[in-house]
Amino acid sequence: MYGMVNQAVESLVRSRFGDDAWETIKRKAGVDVEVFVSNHGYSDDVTYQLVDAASEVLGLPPDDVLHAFGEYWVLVTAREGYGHLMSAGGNTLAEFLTNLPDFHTRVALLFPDLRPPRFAYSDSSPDGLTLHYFSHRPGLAAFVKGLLSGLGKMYDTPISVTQTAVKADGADHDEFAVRWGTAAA
Amino acid sequence: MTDAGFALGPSQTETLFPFHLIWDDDLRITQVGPSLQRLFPDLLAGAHLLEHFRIDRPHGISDAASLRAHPHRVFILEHTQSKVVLRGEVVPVGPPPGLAFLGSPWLRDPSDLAKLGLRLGDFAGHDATVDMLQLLQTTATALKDTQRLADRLDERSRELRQANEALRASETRYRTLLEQSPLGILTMALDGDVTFANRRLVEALGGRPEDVLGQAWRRLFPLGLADAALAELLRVGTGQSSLNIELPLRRPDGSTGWVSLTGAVLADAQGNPEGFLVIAEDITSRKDAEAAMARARDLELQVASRIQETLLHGRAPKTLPGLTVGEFIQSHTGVNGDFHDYYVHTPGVIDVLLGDAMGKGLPAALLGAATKARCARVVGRLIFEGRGRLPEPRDIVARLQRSLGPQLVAMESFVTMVYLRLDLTEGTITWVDCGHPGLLRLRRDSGEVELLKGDNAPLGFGASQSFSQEVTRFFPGEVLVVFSDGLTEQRNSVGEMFGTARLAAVVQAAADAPPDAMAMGIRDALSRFGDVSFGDDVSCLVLSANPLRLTEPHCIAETFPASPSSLVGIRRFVRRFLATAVPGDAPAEWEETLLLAVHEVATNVLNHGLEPGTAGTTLNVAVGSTPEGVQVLITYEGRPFTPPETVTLPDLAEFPDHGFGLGLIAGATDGADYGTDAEGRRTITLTKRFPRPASSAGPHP
Repeated sequence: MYGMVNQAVESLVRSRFGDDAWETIKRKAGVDVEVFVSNHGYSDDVTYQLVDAASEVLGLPPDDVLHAFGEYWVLVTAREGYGHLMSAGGNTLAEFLTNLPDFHTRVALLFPDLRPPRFAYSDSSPDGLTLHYFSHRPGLAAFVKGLLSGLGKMYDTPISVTQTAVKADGADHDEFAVRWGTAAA
Repeated sequence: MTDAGFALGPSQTETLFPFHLIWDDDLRITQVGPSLQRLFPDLLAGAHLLEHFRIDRPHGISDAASLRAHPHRVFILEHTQSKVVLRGEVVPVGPPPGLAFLGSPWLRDPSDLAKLGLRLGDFAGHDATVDMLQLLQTTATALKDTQRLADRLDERSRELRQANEALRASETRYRTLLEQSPLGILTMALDGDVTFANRRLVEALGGRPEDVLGQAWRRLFPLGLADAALAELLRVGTGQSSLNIELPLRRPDGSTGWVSLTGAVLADAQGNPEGFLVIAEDITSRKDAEAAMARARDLELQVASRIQETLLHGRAPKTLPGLTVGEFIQSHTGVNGDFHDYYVHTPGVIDVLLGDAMGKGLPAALLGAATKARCARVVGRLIFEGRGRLPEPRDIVARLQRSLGPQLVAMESFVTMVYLRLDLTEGTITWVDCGHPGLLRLRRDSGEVELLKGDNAPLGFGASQSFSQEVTRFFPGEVLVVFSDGLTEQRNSVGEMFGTARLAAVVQAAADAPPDAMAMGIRDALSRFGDVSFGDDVSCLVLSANPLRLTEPHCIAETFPASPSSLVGIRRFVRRFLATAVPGDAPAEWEETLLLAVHEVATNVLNHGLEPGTAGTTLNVAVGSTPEGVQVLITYEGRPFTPPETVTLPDLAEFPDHGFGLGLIAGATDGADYGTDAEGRRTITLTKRFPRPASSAGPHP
C-alpha cells in the first residue's frame, strides 16, 4: 500500500486523538515504523492492521474508520503532497473525477510496484457519473467513499455516493453512483 | 507540410498541441494553440514572432531559413514579457509555407500550474509535462518525507543524546552511590568472574582492586565456602531462592573477617540472567561482638554456676544426726533460680529450705542466693532475739517476708519455697509451704506416699505478714522428698507433665533404696519421661530418717532464765540431746531417770541456790556425751551448796520433808559433783554412764 495512505492514518489519529492514541494503535497493530514514506510501498497488512487497531482503540466500526481516512487523505494528506496537481486536476468536481483515472495511470507508470488501483468512469452527465474502482485489495470500498466525500468538500460541492456493485459480493469490481450538486440532495 | 508528410487539420492540431504556435516565413504568427492563447491572451495572429518571444535555443536564429536549418532540435522560446519558457521543436508546415512550434510550457514545479493559471486539462494527453510534474511532485514529496524523516531522526538523536546524558549522569550517580556506599557491592558474570567491585568491598576483602576485579568468585573466599555461595547464587538465578549467607574470609595480609552476602540476579532486557549483583557487608565487628558476647555469656554462666555451687545450693552437712540425704540438682541453662540449704540446730533438729526464684539465669541465681542468705540471717537473728530459743518455721518465713517481700514486689519478682523443720527428737516435720508443689512423705507404717501441702502465697506476693505451718509425724525409716516445681512440671514430647503421681510412684518403687540412689532413680525416670533436656530448673532432696544415735563425743549448751518456767525448756533441751546420744539399746528408763535428776537439780537451784533479789540471772545448761555416757553441767551464780558426804534416798514410808531430792539425784545418776568454776560461778555436774560397757574415753562435758 502506498505509504501516503498509512501517513493519512497516522496523521488523522495524531491530529484528532493525540500522539498517545497513535502509539497505542501502532503497538496494538504490531507496526514498528517510525516514519511512513509517501511513495514507498508497504505491505497491505500494515494498513489493514492499523485500521483494525484504530477501530478497536477509537471504538469506531472499521468502515467508519476507512471513510474518515479517505476524507482525510483527500483534504489533508494528498493536498500536502500533491496539492498543486490536485488543484490543477480540475476546476470542478466533475472535471476532477474525469481526470481521476489519469492520476492513477501516471502513478502506475511512475511506481509500477505499488500496484495502485485503477479508476474509470462511465455514464457521465452534468450531475453525475458512475465511478468504477478496480483493485486487488479487498475491503477498501469505504475508503473510496471517503475519498469521494472528501473531494466533494474540496470543491465545496454536495455529493452523494452509492455503491452499486460490490466486488466482495461477487461483482467484477466495485461501482459507485456519484451524484453532485442538486442531484446529490 | 507535404515534404514532411505530416498533415493535421486545425482542430486536431489544437487538440494534440494545445500550446502550438504557427508562423509564416516572415515570422508572422498565423495560428495560436488554445492553451497558449489562454496563457498569453495578447498573442494574436499577425504579430511578429520575435515581438513576443526570444528564441533562446538554438542560438543565432533570426529568420525562417535558419529556423528550418535545425530540424529535430530542441527549441526554447522565452516569452519576453512573462519570461515563461516554452519547450518543443519546430517543424515546417504548409502550404502556405510556414513553421510550427509544437511544445508546451516548461514547468519546473507543480506550483507553476497555479502561478500560470494552467490546469491539467490544458495539456495534451501525450504531453509528458504532467507526468514530469507528477514526478517532480513525487520527488518533492519524497524529499519532504526525507526531511521529515531527518527531522524525526534529529529529534530521536536529540532524545537519545539527552537520554545518554541522563544515563551518564545516572550512571555517575550510580557509581558515586556504589563507591560511597557503606556496603560492599560487586557484580559478577554468570561464570563467576567479578566485573565490578566498589571501594568498600575491596577494603572488606583487604586487597587491591586488581586483586578483586576479573578474579573468579571462589578465589575471594579461600575457605572453600565460596562454592556453596555460588551454588546459592545459581539457585537465585533460577528463582528458587535468595542469597543470604555469611562467609568467613582470610585477607591477603593474613587477617580474618566475616562478610554477609545478599544477592540478586542481573537480567538483560529480555529478562534472561546475565550476571549477579552481590552486596557484601563487612560483619567482622558484629561477629567479634557476638563472639565477645558469647564469651561474656559463658563467663556469666561460669559466674552463675559458681554462685549456684557456692551460694544457691547448700551442701548437706557431713554429719546430719539421724538423717541421710540424697539430692540432684539440674538447671535449665547451666544456672537456675532454685536454691536450698540446711540449718542444723541441734543433733536431730534440722531445718531445710528449698526455694525457686522466678526467672532464669544469673538474675534468678542472684535472687535465689539473696533469698537464701537473707533466710540464714533471719534464722540467726531470731535465735539471737529468742536468746537461743529456736524460732518456729512460720515465724522465720514471716520475718523473711517482711525483710524481702517489699524488694521482691519492687522487682516484680517472687520466690516460691518450702521451709521445713525435721525434729527427729520429737519425730515431727513442721513445714511452711509458700507456693511450692509440696512434699512427699514415704510412710513407714503403710508404705504409702503421702503428699504434704500448705497454702501460703509465695514470697513477694501481696503484703501477707503471717504464714501457717503444718505439722506431721516423721519416724526413723521414713523418707521425705522435697522438690521444686521444675520436677513435676517437666513435660515430655507430647506436652504431658511428669506430675506428682508419677513422682510418688518412683519414690514408692525405690522405697528400699538409699536416698542418693532414690534421687538418681528420680532423675533417670524424669530423663526417660522427657527424653529431652530439662525445660526448667529441677531440685530434688531425698531425706531419710534414721535411728538417732551418736557415736562421736559432742556437747551442746543453752542458757535459760533463772525462772521456774524454764524447767520445761531445760528438760526438753536435755531430752533432745539425749535422743541423739543415747545408744538405741538403752532402756527408756535410763533416759527418764537422768531427766528426772536434771529437773531436780534445776529445781533445787531455783529454790535454794539463788541469792535473794537476783531476778534476771540465768542458768546455763550444758550437756555432753561420749561413747561411755552423758554429763550434764548446770552453771549459775548463787549460793554455794555442799552436799552431805553420803546421800541416800530417805525412807519414803517416813514421809521425809527434805533430802528426797538429793537422794533421787544420787539414785538416778552415777555421780553429782557440786563445785565452783574459774569465774566463781556455782556448778553442778551430773554423770550417768550408758548401761553397756563403755570405751576408754572419759566423760566430755
